[in-house]
Amino acid sequence: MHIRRVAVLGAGVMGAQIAAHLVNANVETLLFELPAEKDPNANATSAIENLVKLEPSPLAGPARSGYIKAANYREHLGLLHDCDLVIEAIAERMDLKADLYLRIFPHLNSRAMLASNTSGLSINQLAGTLPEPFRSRFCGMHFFNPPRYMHLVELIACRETDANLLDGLETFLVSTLGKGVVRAKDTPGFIANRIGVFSMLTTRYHAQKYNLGFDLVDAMTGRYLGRPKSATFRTLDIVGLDVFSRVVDNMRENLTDDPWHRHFELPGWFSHLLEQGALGQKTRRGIYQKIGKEIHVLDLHTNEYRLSDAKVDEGVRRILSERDWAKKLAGLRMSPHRQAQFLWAIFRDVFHYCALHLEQIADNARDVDFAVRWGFGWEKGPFEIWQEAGWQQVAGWISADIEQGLAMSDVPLPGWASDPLRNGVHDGEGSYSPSGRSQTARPDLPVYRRQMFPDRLSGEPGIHGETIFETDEVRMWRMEDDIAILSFKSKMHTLGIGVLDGMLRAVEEAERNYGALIIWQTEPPFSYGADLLQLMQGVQPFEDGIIGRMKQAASRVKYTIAGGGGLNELFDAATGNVLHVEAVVEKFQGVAQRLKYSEVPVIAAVDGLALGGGCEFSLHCARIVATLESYIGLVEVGVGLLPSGGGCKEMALRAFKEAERFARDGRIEVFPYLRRYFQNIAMGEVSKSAEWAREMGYIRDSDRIVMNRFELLHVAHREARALNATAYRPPLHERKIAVAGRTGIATLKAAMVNMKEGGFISDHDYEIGCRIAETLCGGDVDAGTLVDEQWLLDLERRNFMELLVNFKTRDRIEYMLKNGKPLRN
Amino acid sequence: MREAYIVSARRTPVGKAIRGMFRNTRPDDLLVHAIRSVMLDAPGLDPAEISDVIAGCAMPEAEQGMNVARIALLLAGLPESVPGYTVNRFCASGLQAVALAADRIRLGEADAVLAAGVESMSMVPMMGNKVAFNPAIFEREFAIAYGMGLTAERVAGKWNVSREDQDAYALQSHLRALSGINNGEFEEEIAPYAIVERTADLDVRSISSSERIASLDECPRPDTSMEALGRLKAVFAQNGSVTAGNSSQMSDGAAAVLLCSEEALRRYNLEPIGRFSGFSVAGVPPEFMGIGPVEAIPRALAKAGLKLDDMSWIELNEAFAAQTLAVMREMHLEPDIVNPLGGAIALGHPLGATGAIRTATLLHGLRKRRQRYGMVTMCIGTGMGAAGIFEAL
Repeated sequence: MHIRRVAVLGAGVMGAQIAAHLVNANVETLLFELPAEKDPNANATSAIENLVKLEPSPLAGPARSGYIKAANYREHLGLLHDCDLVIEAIAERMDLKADLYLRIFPHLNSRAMLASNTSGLSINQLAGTLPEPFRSRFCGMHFFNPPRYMHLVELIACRETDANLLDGLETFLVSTLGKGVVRAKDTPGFIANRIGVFSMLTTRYHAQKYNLGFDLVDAMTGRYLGRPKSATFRTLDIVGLDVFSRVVDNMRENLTDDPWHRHFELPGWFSHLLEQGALGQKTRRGIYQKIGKEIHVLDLHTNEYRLSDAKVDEGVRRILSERDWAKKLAGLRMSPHRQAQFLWAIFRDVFHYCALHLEQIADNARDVDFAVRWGFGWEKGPFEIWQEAGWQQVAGWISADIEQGLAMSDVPLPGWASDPLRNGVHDGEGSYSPSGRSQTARPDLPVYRRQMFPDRLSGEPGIHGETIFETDEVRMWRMEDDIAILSFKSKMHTLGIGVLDGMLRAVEEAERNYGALIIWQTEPPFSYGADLLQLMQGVQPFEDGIIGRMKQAASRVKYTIAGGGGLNELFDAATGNVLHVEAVVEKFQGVAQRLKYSEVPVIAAVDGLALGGGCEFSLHCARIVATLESYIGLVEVGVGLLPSGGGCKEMALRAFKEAERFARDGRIEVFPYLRRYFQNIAMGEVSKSAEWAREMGYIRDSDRIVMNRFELLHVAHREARALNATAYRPPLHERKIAVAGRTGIATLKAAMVNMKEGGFISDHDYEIGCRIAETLCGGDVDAGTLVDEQWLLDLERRNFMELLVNFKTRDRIEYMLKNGKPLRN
Repeated sequence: MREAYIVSARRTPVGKAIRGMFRNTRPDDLLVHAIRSVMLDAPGLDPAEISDVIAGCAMPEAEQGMNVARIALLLAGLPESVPGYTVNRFCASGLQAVALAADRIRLGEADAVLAAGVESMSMVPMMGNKVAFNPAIFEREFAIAYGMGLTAERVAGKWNVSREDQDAYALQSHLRALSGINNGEFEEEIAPYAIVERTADLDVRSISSSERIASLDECPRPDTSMEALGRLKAVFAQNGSVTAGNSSQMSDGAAAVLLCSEEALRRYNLEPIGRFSGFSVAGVPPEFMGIGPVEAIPRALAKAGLKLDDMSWIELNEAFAAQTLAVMREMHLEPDIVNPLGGAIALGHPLGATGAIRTATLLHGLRKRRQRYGMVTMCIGTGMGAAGIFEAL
């Protein structure tokens, strides 16, 4: 199956955003909506225009919306003939969908697939409204909101769906759109919503039972449980209370024989909010309400909003901070504290529910865990947590609670779950499938061979490859070919001395024995940038007291820029000095240049954040292969510094190269090309996608964007081979770079003066901005002066060092290390 | 010294910049239209007798570059023997052109001179296509680098002009302009312009050409109110008071003014509509650029031998409500006679064209009301003020 063109029917929230993601993936897309009076396309057009305003952006780049073609059912049904896939995303009503299918059916070509994005209706019932021969080309294709960011798509076959076509769709969804596909059975809510919504209902139920406020529940059920920060009730506000209420209604109507059926209801306060039109985020009021800068939460004791200021009990917090699920769940169950009892109860009832329904809703436990991970943003699925916590132990606790009448339902655990020989559901063979009473291996569709490192479940063995060398900070390794891979081991993949040394050694090793070097991390981020704490050890003006406080802070704050080695070295750094720091900066620059001029191609395989030094090193690689969800930026200004690992140098060089291409009568005007780069750096801007990074100039036309992050290493490998196939040579050294010079500096300063005098930026922002301007423009020289790379690197380093000894910069660094966010001083 | 008479003053309607009606209309074409329109008012005048065409333009480059005065006069069909030059005094360029033309006549060096102003802010951005500041400003006088909005904030601060006063003034400007339009007050000065647009019609695969006549100013907003203005954010300073709503609107337009000597009036049987009485320009600190008229007005009055009380109508360019109010308060100007038909906040401010445009407004307005003296005055970027005084006949 080859999908060239897709039609999305229905330009509501989901339809329009699905269309956006299709064009993100370069798929020709038509978006259909009901015809409007004057301009028949107006409804679809306004939905497309609205996409640009949404945050987080459903579009990979601001210009993307222009590629979606607006259409309406009155004039354009004929265009469906050229579509290979039609995704229906209209209102959730069987009669409306059936009517629409009958109208479009005569226009579809004989190869076309029709898929419904329904989240609540039965796929077999929908298929029943179609003429018999067409049912083989029909299925459910359930995206999650927001579709660009939520990895999950559930594929649901009807009885007649052609298995080959379904495989073709799965391949398209995985590789072209970058999604994670789970096959679900045709049961109400499919897998993710069935479990996810039940989990929310359970949390709501126990919150009431244990008399806990919404804000307190959210404080406990978010990051502490490896779930999104919005946790439970804040998530409801984001989803929309009306949407949630419809989903629950649907479950109540269609799951009448579910043992938990009596819990598929919403309490009085919930209906009350609905009646008031307090639907959550979209109406600015729901369970929470933002008043000025404060977040207020509904308090059921008073039925009024009060300041949200929940505090988790210290003892419970300690249990929640435990990383080992065995200790965590045991701690919660054993603790007599109300908050801990509440948390154990929600785990118990969700596990109970999953175990009992697994056979009915999914083929195997893997599909349930992935559905919840990818569709609800949990770090680990329910079965994984259960398995990590000790299957037998937890099963015993659940059974005991059921017997004592503590659980929400008194149905016993299914036999397979309470089997005394069971250690879990996932292992090297696959994941447990109750219908087959055995482990089911992962699907063997060819598309999954592109995933050298697929998303891994607890209990599955890891893939390690063959180590070439390994230090405390990096590991160089390879699969079964001559392409070496370098992965960082530092926290958040920050760049400390050890990582820099590892990179130099890796390039040397690669030049000697391998065809190419790929910098790839086993999980995002690509890199948070320089290890600030380690860098700071050399700066004398920092008194011991501050360094001590910083060390404490670094060990406490989750968002830390410190690497492992940095802390120890820091303690020994009684005689640190500025010269030492300058040597480190020089080393950074040296590594960047080494990457650029390596005899074998170095490829940066970027996924997630690539900030500061992480961005700079990527800029110097022969290629960047980046996932769509790459957030790239030179953000040094946030800590009062400027990029000095070759970042400014490289952007000045790129501006010159562009200016050279567009030179007129031999006159090279660098400034217009430099301006945007200056703004990126001076404002510390971070791209909202890899495509955005391309527009910002951080990703070149020759770099590659990959839709599925699990295919990143595969594509990087292919790219390495392609580079070698053309007898790779590094670029020649740039010795004649025209710079914007002193007029460029003055012009950038003029813009900044207005921001400073208008109070939009601080004096120190201005100071940093002037130094960035000076560096990017090549210093106080005439416009058009020719310099070489070293000239620009020296400017970077000098300005960096001068900023570093500025006490305001030091305040910024200290603040960042303590609080994990930038200080505006 | 001889007298310089105004025979005709005509302008195009003013369009909203960037997305407005003149977004695809070249400024030199607008200027051609203004020149032709005033020539039509002087049928007896042999075009070859025009000694010079002087056009004011604040960003004279690109579509309005290359000496737009000479290009436009040739395109307008004036004889090749007629010379032309472009002058730039930023927002006073159009008024400066009128003053220069008058000077040639008053000196006795010319009998008929065409003055004009032109600006397309749709096509040429403020500060031009290539901004390139001299590094030396950071050693001496860095207020040169101040954006105009920031200087308005400075003026608002120094002369204590509140946000509310600015918004109320802006609203009044719109109301006056709208009522002026409704009462046909601008009919005499505006020479309707036929906008021709050529775009690609992708459905039928051919060039689609459309023409429409523009005869009204596009910028005034009937839907504005104190509430709407109050909601706008200050754009030039954090916690500032200058907003997009109480600043002049970026716009496109052109105007031309034909000046003649008394001899020429007689020789070609021309009816004057006004007489040029005097002009002056003065410098002020760049960071308080908006206060410029305060220095220029007394000097112009002195040269014309008139008093402020002699003025029946003052066209005080509303670069910003903040500086307009500061000038009015400082000079004790009677609010009723300042911009009775609204100003740049409502009508738009096509930088270099404004001086010539408002000269047309003033002369036709004075005549309609049978009033005698009036003034066109404005502040000028980098800290200047200009004032020109006219007598309606």
